[in-house]
Amino acid sequence: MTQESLMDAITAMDEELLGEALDTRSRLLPRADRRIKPLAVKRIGLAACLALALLVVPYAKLVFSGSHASGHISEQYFSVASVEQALGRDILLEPLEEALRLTSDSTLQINPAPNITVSSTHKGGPPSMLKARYNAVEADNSLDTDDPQTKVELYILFDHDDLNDSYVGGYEEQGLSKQYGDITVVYSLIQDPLMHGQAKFLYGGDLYVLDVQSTGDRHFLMKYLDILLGEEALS
Amino acid sequence: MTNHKRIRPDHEIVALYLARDEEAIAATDTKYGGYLFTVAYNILHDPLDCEECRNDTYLKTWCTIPPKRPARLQAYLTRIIRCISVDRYRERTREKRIPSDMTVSLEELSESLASHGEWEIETAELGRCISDYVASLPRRRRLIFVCRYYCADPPGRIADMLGVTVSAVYKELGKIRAGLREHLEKEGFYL
Repeated sequence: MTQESLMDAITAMDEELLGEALDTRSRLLPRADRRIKPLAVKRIGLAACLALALLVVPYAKLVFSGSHASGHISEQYFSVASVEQALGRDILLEPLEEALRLTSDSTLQINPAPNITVSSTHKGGPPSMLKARYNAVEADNSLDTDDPQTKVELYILFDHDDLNDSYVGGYEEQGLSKQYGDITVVYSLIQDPLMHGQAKFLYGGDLYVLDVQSTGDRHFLMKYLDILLGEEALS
Repeated sequence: MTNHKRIRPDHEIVALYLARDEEAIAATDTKYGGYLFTVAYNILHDPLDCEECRNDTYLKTWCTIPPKRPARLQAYLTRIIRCISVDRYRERTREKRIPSDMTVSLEELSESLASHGEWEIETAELGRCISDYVASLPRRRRLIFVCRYYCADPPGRIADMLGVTVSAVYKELGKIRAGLREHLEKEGFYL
C-alpha cells in the first residue's frame, strides 16, 4: 500500500461520517478571538457558579429516579451565603456570585432575580440536591446578530461520588474530558437546536452538573467551566 | 470600524449557491475561510499555495452547486480543498520533499499498515473499507482519526481540542492504527 493510495482512499471517506466529525472538530477548536479578559472570566465564573446554584432544575424528578413523589421538600434561597449557612457547608458557588456582583465591567448582564432551590427527599431529611438557574446575555460584538442568550443551570447532587450516578437530560457520551488541577470534568457539546453543553465533575464529595444552553452559533460551556473551576476560583 | 459579518447557517449558504447569488462565496469565506486555509496548510505548509487552493475551492463549489445540494456543507468543502491541496502537494513533492503534517500523518499510517506482501486493492474499495472501520469507532476515536488523517492536524492540536495530553492522543492513534490493520486483514486486503 502506498501513501498515495492511502491518501486517495482517505479522501474518498463517506461524507456523512466526515461531516459529523468535522462538526465536532469545529466546536472544539479554540476560539482565541473570543477569549474573555481575565478579570471578566473570573467574574463570569463567579456569576456562572451562582447561576448554577440558583437554578432549580425541573429534572430533579429524573435525577431522583422517581423519588420525587409526595414528601419531596424544597427550600428557596436567594444568595450563596444563605445557602451555605443553611447547609452548614461550602459549595462551589462563591466565585460565580462574586462575578455576578461585579457587573459593571463584565460582559455578562445579570438576571436580577437569582434563584436557588435545595431539595430533600423527605421532610426533615438531609439536602439531596441543589438547583440554581441563571440567565445571561453574552455580549459579542464580532457578530452582526443579537447577542446570544444563555441559560446556565447548576445541579449539585450531594454525597454522590460517581460521575455516572445521575445527570440532567441532554448529556451525550462523547468521551470528552478536561482536567482542572485534580478535578476531572467530563462534558458533551451538542446542538438541540440550542448550543447545549453539559459538564459533570466531582467536588467535595458531591456531583456537580453544569448545563449551559445558548442561542447563537457557539457553545459557552467552557467559558462557565473556566469561571467555576479556573485557577483563580480554586486557589 | 468593526467588520460585522453575519455567519449564515449552512442551508442559507447552499440556497445562495442554488440561487446563483455571488453572496454565497462571501458567506462561505466568512464561515469557513479560516478553517479551509488550515486544512490546506496542514497539507502544504505554504500560505500562497493555501490561498490559491482556497480560491480554487470556492470556484469549484460555485461550479458544482447546483446540481449538487450538499447536506453537510463543511464536509463538502473539506473534500474539495483536500483534493485540490493533495494534487498540489503531489506536484510539489515531485520537485522536492515538503515537510508537512500530511506527510507525517501518512507516513505513520502507512508504516502501521505495511505488509511483507503486495497490496492488490482499488482505491475506492480501500476508501469504503476505511469508512466502514471509522464508522465502527467510538465517536472520540472517529474524531481523532478524521483530525489526524483527513485534516492532518498535529497531535498537539488534537490534544488541545480534547483537553487531554499529547501522549494520550498518541496512544489513541496507536490503537486506531492497530484496529485499522486488523480490520483490513479481516476484509482480506493483505495477501
